[in-house]
Amino acid sequence: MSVLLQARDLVRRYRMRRGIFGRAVELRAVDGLSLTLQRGRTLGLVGESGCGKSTTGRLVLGLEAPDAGQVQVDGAPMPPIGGRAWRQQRARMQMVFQDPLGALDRRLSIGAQVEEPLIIHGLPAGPARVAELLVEAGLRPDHAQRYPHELSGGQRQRAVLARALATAPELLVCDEPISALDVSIQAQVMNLLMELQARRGMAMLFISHDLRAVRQVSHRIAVMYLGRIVEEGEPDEVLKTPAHPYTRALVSAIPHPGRRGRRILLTGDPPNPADRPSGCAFHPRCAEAVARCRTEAPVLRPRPDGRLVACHLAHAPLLSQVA
Amino acid sequence: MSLVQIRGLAVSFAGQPALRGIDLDVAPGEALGLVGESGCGKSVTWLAALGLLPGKARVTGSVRLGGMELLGAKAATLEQVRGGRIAMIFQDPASSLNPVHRIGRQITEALSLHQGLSGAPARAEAKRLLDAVGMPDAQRRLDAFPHELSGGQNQRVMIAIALAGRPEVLVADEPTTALDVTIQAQILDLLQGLRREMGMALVLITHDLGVVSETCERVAVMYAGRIVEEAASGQIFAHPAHPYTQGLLGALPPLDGERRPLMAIPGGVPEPWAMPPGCAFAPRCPHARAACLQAVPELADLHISHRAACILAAEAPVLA
Amino acid sequence: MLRFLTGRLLRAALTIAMVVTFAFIVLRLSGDPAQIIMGADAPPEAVEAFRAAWGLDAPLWQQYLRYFGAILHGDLGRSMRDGRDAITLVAERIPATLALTIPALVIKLSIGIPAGILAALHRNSLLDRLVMALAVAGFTVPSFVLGLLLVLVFAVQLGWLPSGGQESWRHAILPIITMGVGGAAVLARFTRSAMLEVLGQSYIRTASAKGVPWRDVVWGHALPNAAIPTVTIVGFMVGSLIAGAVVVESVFSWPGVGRLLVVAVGNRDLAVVQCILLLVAGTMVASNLVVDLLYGVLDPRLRAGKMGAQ
Repeated sequence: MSVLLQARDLVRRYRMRRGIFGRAVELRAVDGLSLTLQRGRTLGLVGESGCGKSTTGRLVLGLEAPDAGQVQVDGAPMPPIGGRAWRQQRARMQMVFQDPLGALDRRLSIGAQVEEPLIIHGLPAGPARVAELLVEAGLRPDHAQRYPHELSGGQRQRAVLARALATAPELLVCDEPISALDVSIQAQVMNLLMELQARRGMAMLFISHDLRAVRQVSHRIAVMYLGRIVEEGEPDEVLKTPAHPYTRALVSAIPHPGRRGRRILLTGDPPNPADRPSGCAFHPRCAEAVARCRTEAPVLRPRPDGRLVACHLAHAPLLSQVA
Repeated sequence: MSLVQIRGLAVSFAGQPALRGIDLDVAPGEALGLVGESGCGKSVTWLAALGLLPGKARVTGSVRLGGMELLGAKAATLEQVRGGRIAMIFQDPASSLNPVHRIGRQITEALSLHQGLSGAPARAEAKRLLDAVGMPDAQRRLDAFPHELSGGQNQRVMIAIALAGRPEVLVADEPTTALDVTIQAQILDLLQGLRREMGMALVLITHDLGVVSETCERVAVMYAGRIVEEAASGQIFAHPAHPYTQGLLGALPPLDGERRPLMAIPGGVPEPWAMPPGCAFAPRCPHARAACLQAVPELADLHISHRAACILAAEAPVLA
Repeated sequence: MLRFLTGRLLRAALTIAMVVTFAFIVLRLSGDPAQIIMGADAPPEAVEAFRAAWGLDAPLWQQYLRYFGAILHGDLGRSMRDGRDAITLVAERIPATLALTIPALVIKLSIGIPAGILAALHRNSLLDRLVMALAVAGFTVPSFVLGLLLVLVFAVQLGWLPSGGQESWRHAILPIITMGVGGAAVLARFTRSAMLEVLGQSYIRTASAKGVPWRDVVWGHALPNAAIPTVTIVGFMVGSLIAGAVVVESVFSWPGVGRLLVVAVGNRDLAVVQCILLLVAGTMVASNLVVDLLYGVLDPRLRAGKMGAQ
């Protein structure tokens, strides 16, 4: 196991305007985030809408440049966007999106779209190679002649995967790859992702709002809240003994057959990244918040058991004994 | 005695069947889950019952509300029922509210239709309803526009509008699918509380078995325009009889235990114009045999209040 | 709000400056006004004198600067043809043009919008197909063809109405109909598609599910939303009240601003052409501004959020 990609203290700000007469405000989509991706392993990134998980995916891939911080691949910094080295890098890292229909060109056959990256990056192309890739993604070779609208949602996501696999990437960033699919198809795609990883040994960043799916495919999970990671650890441990109050609420909110019982209901909505609360960003919704949480932002740091948590209380000796 | 009685309800669009004849009862005050994947007809059932489908839809069968037939009823009758006796909320709360009208107006409109309230009393009642659905700062929100509220808040407004007519049945069509997990928990909790408080029946339409298991007492599973299994919630999750229900449960990633490949259902849902003969699920079913392709299996009793439309399940009734 | 308005006014001024410059270049490069106004067989000395009198002998860029400076001082120049103030010349013609375009606008609105709404409400019905067939016919037939056709039928064949001129209100009927029909067709199609779009929205279904009678769903929920895109095209029609009658005025020999423009271009009578262009650009810009402000009134999403999202 070795480190493929390392992101340190990433910050990404956007400016947005509200209404025609509105004043522009700055929002921090990602606000000091660090993560490490190991070769052949999957990091699951969980969070609610607006927490910055998709922006993190784009920063990691180098599709956007961070305003601060650095992404290193194999120990070397990410080359500047648009340059030659950057384009070569792109072949090593691919992305899969939520909406497979939007990610495919409606006017091109599936075969042509799978072959395109092979041609761009000067790799051996041709119908035989395309057929191989389609089969690897669980499609039939004759799907090469089809057009996106002739495939079902699950088949389209397989076609997107086949195209992503063409350049033999070392990293696959999957941004909500299953949330637009039906339940029975979600399971197919999750199984496929795990099979592909077992066969090809690529690293994955699996971004999702669905903790169950993230647990299923990930070796490690990180929970995001308002642009920062608030907890990171082994999936089973995080699900069994979530340490951050936000993770506890997320875990208790998972709807699952046969699981009845006490839910932690958070009050209020996920806050606006343009209006970040002082101190710990979660404190207005946290039932356990104390005075310190309102003024001092907690740092993500390891507990004795190795879990990374950004919460003043999770590190307090008394609470960790209880947990 | 059932409050809503649906018999042989079938819907087709331009000759393509979307609903192939379903029977369904809703008892007063019960929580019924209607589960299935996209295109199975779970939403169409209730849009058809309330006459909300576009004119080109062909609807046959019968939907009775307390003895009154709704299919083919006069417009005035349906307008009394809609929102007054059966209310409905939808998946995407942001687009389900009129963007150019203030929240207060959208609630008082329902109040004037079904309670005859107007002016200051209507506004006071609207504020009370917003309080009842847990809207923070209700008085001020009356003058807000939908785009000024979050998704969860808009769904609360939708629920407040639905409550305005004091309905006997609330049909919630994927009410939490567009919302975040923590907000989903809030809304489900709210719906559950309101149902108990007001004694209304809740029909929860969803693709998420987890949501149903926590909220509903009874579950009907739909596939390709038919109900394939119907049972009490505890029964169906402990002893699913139809291979499709089994497949849906197997496809859910578990919360604990060893991680192994999920039992995914192979293939995809059949298109309405390419429906297989016999059981619609047969091409994806691991237990299918020749007889499954012969005739559409009837929904048969397996057990007390547990029915499934599968010849295999009928042969080997579940022991509960 | 103030920042928004100043921004819009600055952009409007820039637009008008560009229009004026463009007209100057095109008119100066396409012919010599002295030669054209004095006639082909005028003695060269006379033409030369004319040039000197109007400053046409100066280099082009000097003429441009002089002209532009005059405009900034509010002086729109005089007609080279009869020496009168261009602005007076144009202002005299405005009432005649408005006598055609305002009734035509009323026809466009009162036929086009209801027809589009009705067609959308009865989609794919006989009524819908009839309205759409008429609408396609209405805006594919150019106005000069329609105008000539109407003259042929009502003036020449039936003899009911005069074919041209401006002697009485009866002379105005055919040009008004010619303009009204084309605009009504455009508006009907546009209103229909705006209405169909709105009727397909989820909030229309919500309104029906609340028990709102269909009539009130249409009036209270659908129309206010469909009005938002329709305002754009109505704004454009209002903006072209002054200049939208060039072709029709020519066909029916109606002495309005449009006819004046055609004659002035023929003579390369720069001051008059520029004056009309300024007027046209000004009304367009003004109506666009009104449309933008109307958007804010009609669509709360475009106002600045008082409450703040979330």
